[in-house]
Amino acid sequence: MIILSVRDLRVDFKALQAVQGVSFDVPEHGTVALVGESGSGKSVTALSILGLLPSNARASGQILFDGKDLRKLSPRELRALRGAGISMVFQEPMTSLNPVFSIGFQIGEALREHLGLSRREVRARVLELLMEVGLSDPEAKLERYPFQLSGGEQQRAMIAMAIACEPKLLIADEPTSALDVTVQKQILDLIAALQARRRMAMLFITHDLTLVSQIAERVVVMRQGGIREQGTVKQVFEEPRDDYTRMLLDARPRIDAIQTRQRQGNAPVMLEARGLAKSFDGVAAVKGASFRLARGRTLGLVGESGSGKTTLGLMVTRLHEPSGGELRFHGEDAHAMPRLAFKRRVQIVFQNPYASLNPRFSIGATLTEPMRLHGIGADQAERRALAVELLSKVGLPAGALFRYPHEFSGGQRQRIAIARALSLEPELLVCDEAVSALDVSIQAQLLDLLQRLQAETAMSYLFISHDLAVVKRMADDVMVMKDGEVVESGTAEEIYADPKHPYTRTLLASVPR
Amino acid sequence: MNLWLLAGRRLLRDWVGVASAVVVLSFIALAGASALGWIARDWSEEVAVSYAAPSFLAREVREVEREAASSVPQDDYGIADPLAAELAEIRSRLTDGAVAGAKASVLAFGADKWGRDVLKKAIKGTQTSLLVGFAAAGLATLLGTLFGALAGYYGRWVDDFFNWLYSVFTSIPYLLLVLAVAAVLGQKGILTVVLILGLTGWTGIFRLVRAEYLKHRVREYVLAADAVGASDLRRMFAHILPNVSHVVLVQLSLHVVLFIKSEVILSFLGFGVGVDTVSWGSMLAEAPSELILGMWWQIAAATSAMALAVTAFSLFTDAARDALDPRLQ
Amino acid sequence: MSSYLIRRLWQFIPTLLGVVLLVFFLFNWVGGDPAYLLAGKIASPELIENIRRSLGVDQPYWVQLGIFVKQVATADFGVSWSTNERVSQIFATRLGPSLTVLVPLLFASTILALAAAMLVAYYRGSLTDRGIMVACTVGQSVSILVYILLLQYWLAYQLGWFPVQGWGSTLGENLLGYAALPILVGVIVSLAPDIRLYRTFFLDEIGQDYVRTARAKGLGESRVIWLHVLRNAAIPITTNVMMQIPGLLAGAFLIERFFSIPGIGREVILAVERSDFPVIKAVTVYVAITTMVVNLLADLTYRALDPRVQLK
Repeated sequence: MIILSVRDLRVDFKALQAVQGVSFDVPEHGTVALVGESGSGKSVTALSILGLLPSNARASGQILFDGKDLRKLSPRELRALRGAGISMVFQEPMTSLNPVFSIGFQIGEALREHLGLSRREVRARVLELLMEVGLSDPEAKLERYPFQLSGGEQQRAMIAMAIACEPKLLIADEPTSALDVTVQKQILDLIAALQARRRMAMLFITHDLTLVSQIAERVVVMRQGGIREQGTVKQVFEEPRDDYTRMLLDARPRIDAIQTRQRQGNAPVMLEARGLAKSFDGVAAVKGASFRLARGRTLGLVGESGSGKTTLGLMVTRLHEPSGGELRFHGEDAHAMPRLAFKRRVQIVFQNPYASLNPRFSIGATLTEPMRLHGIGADQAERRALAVELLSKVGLPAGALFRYPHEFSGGQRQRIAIARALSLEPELLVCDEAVSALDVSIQAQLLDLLQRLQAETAMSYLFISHDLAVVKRMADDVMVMKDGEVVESGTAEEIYADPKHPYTRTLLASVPR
Repeated sequence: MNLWLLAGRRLLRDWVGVASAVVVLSFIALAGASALGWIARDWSEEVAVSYAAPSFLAREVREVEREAASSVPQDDYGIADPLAAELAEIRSRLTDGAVAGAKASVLAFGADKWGRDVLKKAIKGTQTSLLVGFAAAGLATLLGTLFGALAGYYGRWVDDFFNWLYSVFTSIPYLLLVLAVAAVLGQKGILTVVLILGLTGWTGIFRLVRAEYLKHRVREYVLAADAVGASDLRRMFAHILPNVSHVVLVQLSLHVVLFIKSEVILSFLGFGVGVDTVSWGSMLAEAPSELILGMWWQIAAATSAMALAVTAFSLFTDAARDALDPRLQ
Repeated sequence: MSSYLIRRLWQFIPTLLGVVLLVFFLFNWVGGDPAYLLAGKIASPELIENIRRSLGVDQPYWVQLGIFVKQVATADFGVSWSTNERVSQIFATRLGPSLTVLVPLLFASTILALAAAMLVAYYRGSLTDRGIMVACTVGQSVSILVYILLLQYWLAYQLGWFPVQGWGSTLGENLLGYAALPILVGVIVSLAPDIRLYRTFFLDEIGQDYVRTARAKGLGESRVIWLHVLRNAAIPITTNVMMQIPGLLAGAFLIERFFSIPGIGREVILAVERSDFPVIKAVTVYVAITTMVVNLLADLTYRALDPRVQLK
């Protein structure tokens, strides 16, 4: 029995065609995963089901729910359906909840609106729901405001709000993408359990193929507004018929299939940190980290948000002054070295490709600036020539020199950022979540580039990431951080095959396979 | 293609933006021509009778001719008049003079109490207002941007100092502050007005620029500049400032409007430009007595000139703000 | 909470000191020697010396500063240079009329502007929205002077619906008679900028994610706007209204002057015209203190309305 049937849905935003003729079904008690990278149109498809598109969108096609075409319903009928027949959970729980009302109030609103319960009944129901979604101390949480809850708790509250009126269909739009990996797993388990218990149908939207096999029976693969392939998970994953699907499947960093790197020989130690610590206004972000990094090696630094890994990375580049401990570069005290001399040897690539390049500088200006500051190249012409070389090293054409960051994609911008870092020929490159903001297929390309560059130049990497699969691929040695402390460190082999610290174990267990 | 060109393109597609830009440029051209003396140079000359109504040439001349024809007495004594020739000459001079006088002025907006052409006054007033508006806005923007950049970038005690300065200046309502300064600087004149407005009006710009600097200082492109070795000064002015310039420009434009309106009030109260110059404010100052007598053209001229200029400026500012909005990229 | 209050009150001191210094700098240093002004055209050197001595401007600067600080501390600014009335007396008698105009003005303009802004935000993008916004832009481009002049001329002088100028003796007489037109003018003048500002606040909130969630829950559009959006927009709006209060005190002086309302604003304009420094200094300091107090109240209100704000 099909509960939702989308037929030839098209959505346009003025000149942009976001969805170009999409058709799929969702069975009554089953889960369908809608998968795609950014720009695929998956979120727009989900929003159009409940008619939540912005006013400048034009939609056509049929959306049949329980026999009725949702696009032809009157506003009142549609409103009666929202939150009751079909519910939605969004990606960013912090902004999706109203900041000035308590979560008890917001959850209760759905109940009052659709079921007309009395105050006391509502309160009782809300408490039940809070317990059902696994929120501790529900009586207290009832009165709390969204900002007083953690990301995971906020998402649980959102889920409670969505299931309050026992919907037949739950649409989940990337519900875990904004959460830490350990929390992700908890929320996914919760959603799966709720679905099983209440026998809801679910449309699960995600960009992460590894999640799909865990929660869905059917999968729909979208790209640039159209469906490339759909079928049961078994079919699509084992025998994909479409090239793009195949490419997505291959690009998945399947943690079990990745080999850790083999350590070869003993390289001289280049960087040594002893008891590095950093506090901000009395709050300790890093509580004493010690490690060694040799030439040509990659040290992976793993942790979730708030672990202090980024702060540590910034200290290594001297962008943050440490509150304690010392840093030695080739035996010398790194903080005694002149500023420019140090920066010549240690460079960094940041996470957000949309923020790390100055939007007002042309690419040429961005690339030649470091050279000018360090006296590389005799004149602008020579520097330009060097910039062109750098661009080709990272796989970009010379014409890029005269263009501006907004004309490039995220992956291309990261390449430019890498080229900028390389312009000084550093010995150490800190990669602070350098691929985390990119689509999975682009990630793979960039990781290839980084490995190739390392082989060519014998640079060392401090590779910071929350993504264990990526770190497994890149690192020789690994440090795991939690709450500012290094809880475990060792070779990649040791850590991945036989983790000792309970946190490391939880972390590895939370990775979707 | 850099963001200015992109914004320019976007602006051209907005007809309201284009129309208002054209009007603004016309006003600027008008003010410039007036400043150079190409037009309205003789605004202070008496060219008509007191409170002459708005008039256009043809009607005026005909009336004067008729008047001239009827006013000169036609005496005919029938005998030889020894002074006849002289009389005839006097007669002709009188009437020709009147016609010549009327021909000299096309009084689109009539004349004021002293017979001065109101249209020319309005044009001269444009020069005054635009000059004061731009100069004061330039000064205020310079100060506000500099202070805001320093406070937002360096933080800590530098920020504390500028915030203290800001709170001191803002605890006194703007108009009161302006009047207080005007009261003290008894001397009038355009420079004084520009200084008064500019030295007190930097606070709004300061707050916005400071907020922008606070936001940008922790952005990754600034960290990246630090990572490659750029100095503090370089980061502040070569990196962050271009990213903040669109905010600054919109503020400049807004303050031009604010200062034009403030100058009008100051001149009205007698604290603005001196008597040797005209401002829309001084034109309005003559209005109360004129209204009682039923003469509405001077207030109409000043108000419509000001309304047109300020509306065009405001619409242009809105359009420019939308065109430059980075979120709409 | 009380520690927060005490800390904030402490912070008044440097700001107040700054205001005192600024006023002193302006009037005692830049303004310098008013003796010539007050002595009149033909004055003997002895007369000027006498005036100087009685005003205290013959003393070295630091002594003058000390005198001024004492004046601020005791709230006694001496006498007006033109009318010889005690400055504190001036304030006591002029405050009433000013408030009679300002309080109704604040209420009326806020309510009207809020209603109009909500309407416009609800129908955003429509012709009504666009039309009202253009009207606001044009309305704002006309000087307040013109509004005062024209409305006074037309409604009072020509049509005789209101008295042209003046002030009565009882509150009722004033509110219904003499204050009515000034309040009307004040409301009209402040409508345009207020509507634009409040509209921005509303639109900012309407664009937020939580509005989408509210709709996804099945809530009706009116509930979404009137409860969810308004409650959030109320935060910047309330603080904005409160911060307007000191500005109103000063801005009303044009209105008071034209309608001959014996309020503080009119006193200020007269004082400025006559270079009556004690009055101007006193007003400036008093208004500065009022602004600081009102800002503190605005912060407290902000805290009461927005649960995210932690008072540090």
